[in-house]
Amino acid sequence: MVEFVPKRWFNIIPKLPKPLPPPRDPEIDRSSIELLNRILPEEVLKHQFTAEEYVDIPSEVVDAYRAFGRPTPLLRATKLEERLATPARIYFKFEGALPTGSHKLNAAIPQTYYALKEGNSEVVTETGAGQWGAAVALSSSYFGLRSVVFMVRSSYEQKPQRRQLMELYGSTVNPSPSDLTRVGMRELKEGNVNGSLATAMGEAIEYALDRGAKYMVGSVLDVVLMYQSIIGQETLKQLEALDVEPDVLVGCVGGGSNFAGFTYPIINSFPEKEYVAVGASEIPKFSRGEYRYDYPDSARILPLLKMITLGVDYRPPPIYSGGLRYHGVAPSLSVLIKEGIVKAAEVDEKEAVEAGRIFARLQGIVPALESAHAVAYVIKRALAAKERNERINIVFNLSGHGLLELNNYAEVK
Amino acid sequence: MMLGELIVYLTAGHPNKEEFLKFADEISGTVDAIEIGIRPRIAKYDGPVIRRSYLAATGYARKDLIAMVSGLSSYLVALTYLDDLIDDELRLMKSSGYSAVLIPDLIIDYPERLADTAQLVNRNGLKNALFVTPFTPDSYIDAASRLADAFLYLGIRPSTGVPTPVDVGKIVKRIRERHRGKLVVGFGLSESEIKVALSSGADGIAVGSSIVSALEKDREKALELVKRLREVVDSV
Repeated sequence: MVEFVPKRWFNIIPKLPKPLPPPRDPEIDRSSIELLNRILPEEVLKHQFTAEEYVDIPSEVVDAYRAFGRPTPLLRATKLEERLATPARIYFKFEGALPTGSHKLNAAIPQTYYALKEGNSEVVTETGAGQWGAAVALSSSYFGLRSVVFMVRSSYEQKPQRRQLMELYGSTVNPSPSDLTRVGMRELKEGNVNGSLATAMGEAIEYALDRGAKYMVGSVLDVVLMYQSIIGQETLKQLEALDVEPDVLVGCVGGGSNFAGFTYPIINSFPEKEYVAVGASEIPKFSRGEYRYDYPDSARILPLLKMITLGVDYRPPPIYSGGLRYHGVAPSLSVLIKEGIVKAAEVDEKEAVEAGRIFARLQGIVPALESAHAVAYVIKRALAAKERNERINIVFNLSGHGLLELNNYAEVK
Repeated sequence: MMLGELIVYLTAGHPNKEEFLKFADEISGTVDAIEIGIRPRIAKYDGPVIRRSYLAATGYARKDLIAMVSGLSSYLVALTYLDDLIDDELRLMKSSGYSAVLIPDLIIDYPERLADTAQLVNRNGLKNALFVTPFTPDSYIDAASRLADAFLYLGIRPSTGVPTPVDVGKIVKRIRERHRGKLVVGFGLSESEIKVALSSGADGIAVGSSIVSALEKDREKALELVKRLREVVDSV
C-alpha cells in the first residue's frame, strides 16, 4: 500500500473566524511589499497572497516529500503513558524522522522547487541554529541548485556539526556578519562579530538583491505555514486509520510554522477541540505580547504584519531553544489565539529539558529542545487528565530531534 | 450585455486644488464613478505613489478636502479610514455631493463595527461600498455582501499600485461566487489583469496609482490614460 502524502496544501485564511489583517508597508517612501517581488520566487509570493482554501502541490514536490520519508510516522508514547499512570493516550507526529531532523524541510522543498522552475540557479537564506539552513541546503542539492547560507557566527562556531551537514549537502556556508555584504561589513566595523538572526537575514536579502539569487523564507509568513500543512493532513489520516479522534493538540511555537502546519488542517475538521500553543516562559510573548502591527524581522526589511509581539526591538534571553527565540507569532495564529480557538501556554527551559530527558529515556527519541517544550506541556496535561480521570487522546507534534544539540541537554542541569 | 464599469481614484487636492477639480470634471463623461481619497493620518494600505499624493493635500483641513468636490457631477465615493472618520464628516460628505463611502480598514481592523458603521453611513443618506481583500474569510464576505448597497470593492493586493503577483482570476471567482451585487476590483491591476478580472465576473475595475502618478506630471497624459483604460474595459 502506498501511504498517504497530501496532494494539496491547506490554507486557513478563508476559514478564519476574523479577517486576517494584510501585510502593511512601513510609513516611508519605499515598499517592502514590492521588495518581496524581487527576492521571492513568483509562485511563492502568489501563494503568500492566495485566497484559496486548497492549493495543488506540484507532483515533483510530492515526489520529494516521499523521497525524504513522508509520511512521517504517527507514534504512540505508550511507555510515557505507563510511567505517568494516566488514562490519557499520548500520540505524536514525528517530524524529526525527516533527513535534516525537523519539519523545516517541508517548506524548503516547494520554495527551492519554484526557484528552479522559474529559471534560477542559486538560492540564499539565513539560519540561526542551522535547522532551516540544513533544510534549504538539502532541498537545493536535491533539485540541483546552488545554495548559500548566512549562519549566525556564534552558532557557526558553536555548532560545527550543523554547519558541516549543510556543507556536506553542498551549501556554501558563510559566518554572519561576513565581508560579502554591506550589511555584514557595517556590523563587523562596529565590532558586532557574533552576529544575530536579523543581521544574517539582512545579509541574505542583500545577497539575493545583488546577485539575483532567490531568497528562501523559514517561518512566520502565511505561505510557510501553508507549506507545512501536510503535517496535519497526514496526522488526520493516520488518526483516522487508528480510529482515534483527537481531544487535545499540542505544539511548540517559535514563529508558528510547525504548530500551524500540524494543527490548522485538524482545526478545520475539529474546530471545537483543545489546541495548545506552547512557547518559552523566557520569551513571554503569549503572556505579555501585544496584538499590533510590527516588523517580523529586526532588520526591518519585510512588510509589517499584525501579530502578537513583544516588539521587534525585544532582545530574547540566550536560551538554548534557538527556534523559540522570536518576538512575534504568525498573523493567522495570532488571530486564532485572540479568538480563543487556540490557547497558549508557556514552559521554561528547565522544565523542557527535564521533559526531554524523560521522553528520551522512555521513548528513545531525543526531542529538540524546542519540541521538548511541547513534551513538557503534554506531560502536565496528561497528569491533569489523571486527576480528572479523563480518557482523552492527546496528540502533539514532535517537530525535530535533538541529536545534533546533545550538549544543550548536558549543559542544563 | 452590460459594459464593465471604470472607477478612477483621485486624491482630494492632488496635485493641487485647481488641477484636481479640472481633471475630475474632464473625466466625468468617461468614468462611471470617481473615488476620492481624503488624506488619512496613517496611510494603511497605500503604496508609495498614493502616499506621496497625500503630501499635496497637507495644506488643507479634512473638512475642506471633503467639501472640495462640491459641484462635480460624477458618482462620487469618499474613501476614508475608520481611524480618521468622525461623525460629522458623513453628513458633510452627503452635503458635498458624495453618494457612497468606502472605508478600507473597517472589515480588517474593526470587523465587530461592520454592521453599526454600515447603518451609520445609511442614516447619513450615503451608501456603503465595502472593502474586502483576498484574506477576508468567507463569513465576512457574506456579511459584507449583505450590507454593500453601493458595491463590494475587492482590493486584490495588499498595497495600492504595488504589482505583487496574484492570481486575479481565482480570487475574483471566489468572491463572485459569494456575492451577487456589484463587484469592483482594484489595487495595482495591469491591462491584462483588468481583462481577467472582468471576464472572471467583476462588474467594474478601479484604477488609482497609475493615474495619480500620471497626474503628478501631466494632466493631458493622465487624461489619455483614463481614455485608454475606458477602451480596455469596453473591449471585454
